[in-house]
Amino acid sequence: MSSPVRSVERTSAYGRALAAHSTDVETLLRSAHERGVDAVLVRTALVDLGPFVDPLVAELPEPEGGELVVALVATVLDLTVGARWRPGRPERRVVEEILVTLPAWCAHQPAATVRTLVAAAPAVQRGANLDLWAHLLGRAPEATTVEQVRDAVLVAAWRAGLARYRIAALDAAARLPGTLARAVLALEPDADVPAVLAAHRADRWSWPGLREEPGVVLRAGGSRVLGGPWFERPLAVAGGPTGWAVRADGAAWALVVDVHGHALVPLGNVPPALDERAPVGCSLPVPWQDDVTGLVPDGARAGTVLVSRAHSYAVDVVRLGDAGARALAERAVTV
Amino acid sequence: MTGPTAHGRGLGQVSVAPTRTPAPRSPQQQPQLPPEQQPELSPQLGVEDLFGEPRSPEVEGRLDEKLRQAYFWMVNHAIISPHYDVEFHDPSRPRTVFRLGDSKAEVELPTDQSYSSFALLPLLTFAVRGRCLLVGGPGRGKTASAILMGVLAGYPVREVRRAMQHGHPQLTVQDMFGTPLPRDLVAAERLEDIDVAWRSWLGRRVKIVDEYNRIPTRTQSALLTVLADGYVEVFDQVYETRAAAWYLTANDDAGGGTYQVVDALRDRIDVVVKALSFNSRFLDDLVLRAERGLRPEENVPAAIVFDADEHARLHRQVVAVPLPQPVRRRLEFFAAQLELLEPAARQLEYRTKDTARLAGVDPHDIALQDTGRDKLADIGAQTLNGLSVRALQSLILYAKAMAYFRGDAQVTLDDLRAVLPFVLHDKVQPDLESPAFDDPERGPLRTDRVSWLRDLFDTACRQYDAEGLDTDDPVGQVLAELAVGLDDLPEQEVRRRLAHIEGLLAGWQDATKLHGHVYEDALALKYAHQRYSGYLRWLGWGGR
Repeated sequence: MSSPVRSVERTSAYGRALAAHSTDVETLLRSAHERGVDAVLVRTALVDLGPFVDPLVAELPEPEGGELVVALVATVLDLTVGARWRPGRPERRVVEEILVTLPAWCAHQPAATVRTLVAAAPAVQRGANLDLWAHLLGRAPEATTVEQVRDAVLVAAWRAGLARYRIAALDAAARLPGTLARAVLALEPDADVPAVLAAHRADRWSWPGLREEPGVVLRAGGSRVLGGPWFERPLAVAGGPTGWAVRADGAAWALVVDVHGHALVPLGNVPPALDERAPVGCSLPVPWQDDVTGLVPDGARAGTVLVSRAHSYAVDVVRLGDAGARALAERAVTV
Repeated sequence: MTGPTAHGRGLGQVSVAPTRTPAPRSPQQQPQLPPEQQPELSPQLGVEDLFGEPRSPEVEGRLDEKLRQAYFWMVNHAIISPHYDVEFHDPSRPRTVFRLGDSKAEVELPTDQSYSSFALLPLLTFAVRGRCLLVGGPGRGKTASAILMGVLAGYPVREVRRAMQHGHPQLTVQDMFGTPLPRDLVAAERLEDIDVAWRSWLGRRVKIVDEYNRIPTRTQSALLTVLADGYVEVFDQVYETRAAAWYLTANDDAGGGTYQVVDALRDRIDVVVKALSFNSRFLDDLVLRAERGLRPEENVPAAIVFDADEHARLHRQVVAVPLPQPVRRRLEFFAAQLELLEPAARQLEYRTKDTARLAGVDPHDIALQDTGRDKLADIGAQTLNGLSVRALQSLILYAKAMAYFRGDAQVTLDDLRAVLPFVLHDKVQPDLESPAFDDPERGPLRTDRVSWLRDLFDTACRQYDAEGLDTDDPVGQVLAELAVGLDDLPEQEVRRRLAHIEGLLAGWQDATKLHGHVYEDALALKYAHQRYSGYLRWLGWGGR
């Protein structure tokens, strides 16, 4: 919620930093003005910033304190110009809620921390769990270089559910110092990061401490009426870049999925050839009773299947028990 | 002229009476913002605005009043220019017009405070730190007016005279801008080792170049760099000049002189002002000056001198004057009429006069092929070119300065109309063979560029009113929706807007001729369609 403060306190840490860097701030204000933003909105945004930035700046020496304020002013002005400095927007949550949990990051890389987090937040909100992302970052020690800031933010985003960033995140995690990597990957303090990463790279369902019980692992999709991607009920089919695809509404989607999250990516106007053979009979450890319309095994790991059914707008990823996996293998289903 | 003072009396004084009480205006002339949108802040914020309570423009000092005081001091004491060619009218009062002679020359008595362009435009140039060309025969006061501007900036008159650059055929780049130090010329092994003694005038807030059309072409090119980009280069050394008001003078409006003026240099000039002829009824003022040895520039009152900080604030305040949407729309409509040349190309984007000019073809010849157009009603048929971005920027800036000078809270149509002919004077070329000039009554417009440009704008405004575009502007609504941004816009809404755009274009297919504004609206719709289509693709590829 916005603070009722009507102006910046001149003697506050924020006020002093604004005055000390007035040349830079004036340039930013001029630029915002030239882009046509209303002066009242600009003033309100920068005044509202005070209570959130003040405790951070008060702890920082120069030049980092000034650098943080200038970076925040630039960011808030950009957001205001683009009508994105609104309550509830992920960028604003970064500035008002998340940055304050990262004083050590701000002490080392103030500008990079602000810019990277604000740039990443909308994508995280759309495809992952923003609260988990913020939690992972908050438990991480400082990122001391710009590269570490970017890598840590990326890895935390993937760990919070952005499955489409998996390969890039695995590469980035390998570059991070062990403590930082363990924190943003939510691993135990004594976890062997390279080993965890290598195991996961080989098997996207592998992760330390994961309980591999049979059952529905995740559910994806849904009716367009309720915010999902499809009007029709989907059909699970084999093919596409990930091996798992879905057909609905005359189009095709690839299901990008791993142990941390998933995404449905449209395959464009000319989807690749997909295997739409009828599903083989198979006993599924699922809580529903329905006719299976599509069943696609995971080409890389036996015992996990993508399932579509006659009366659902969602598709399920189901982990079979050992018996089910064996039965499936015996039927020699190939994709 | 105003007030009881005559030339020579009270030279060093400025009246304390306010120079302008805004006259009542019709709602159309001065659109009012609803109370919740009334600006409580100067639109251009500074860091100081963040501390303490919001600061209103009033706190910054009434520099507009000071500017008006300067104007009235100039026309009452310094420049004998008893003309009121920049006319304003109070809509609540009846017009009084008399017609004289065989040509029925109109003598219209202004019903609101009106001004002399020869004093006003240089002063507005001072406020916006623009570039003003003063043209007219010798002895009309062009140079004197420019010198006064230097004195208004706080420079001693002797320094202003010394700093003035006089154009002559032998003027070199080094004469004008700076000379390399002889010691360095002998000793230096590399160009960058040569120090340049820069001319002091380059750092001034008011720069004067007298008779610029007598400057050799090469030196003109260097002058262009200073005017356009704010720096000058001699012997690999670069001097960055600060923001300044420029005054150039020329005896010949048509670009003649010892040297042809470089086109790009003419294009950089924001306004062109003519020194009007001397009215012999005011000879007694000349006599008085001669008898007393009065030199106005040596007696400029301190109350109208702007120091560097005030000059910068003045510029800031002028830039901050809002240009409301209804006025902007009329300017857009006017500009849209000038560029279109339908038969010049096949693809929509290239159907412009620029296409013809770049192909080396006279736009007039191509316009002759366009038989379906009313060449008398279409103002685009009277010009050989359209408006450049630079011309539009100058127009907006001077319109703001005019509004600021008149004490208006925002730019009105009258402000825009007042400055338009002076800004576009050298920027819009008339097609003198156009049938629009064949009417004997319009014949004088071939030579009277100011009246012609004003007539063009008035005609465009009448057409704008006839089309009811103030109330019915579907394309404006499309662009306004787009300007709000695409963030969080659901797919269904994007598809609805795309269908709306296509519906508008389909509706025009058979019902509308391709007039200038329709042409630009069609391009704008194409732009909006692309933005929405791109966003739709992005949504499909993971924006969800």
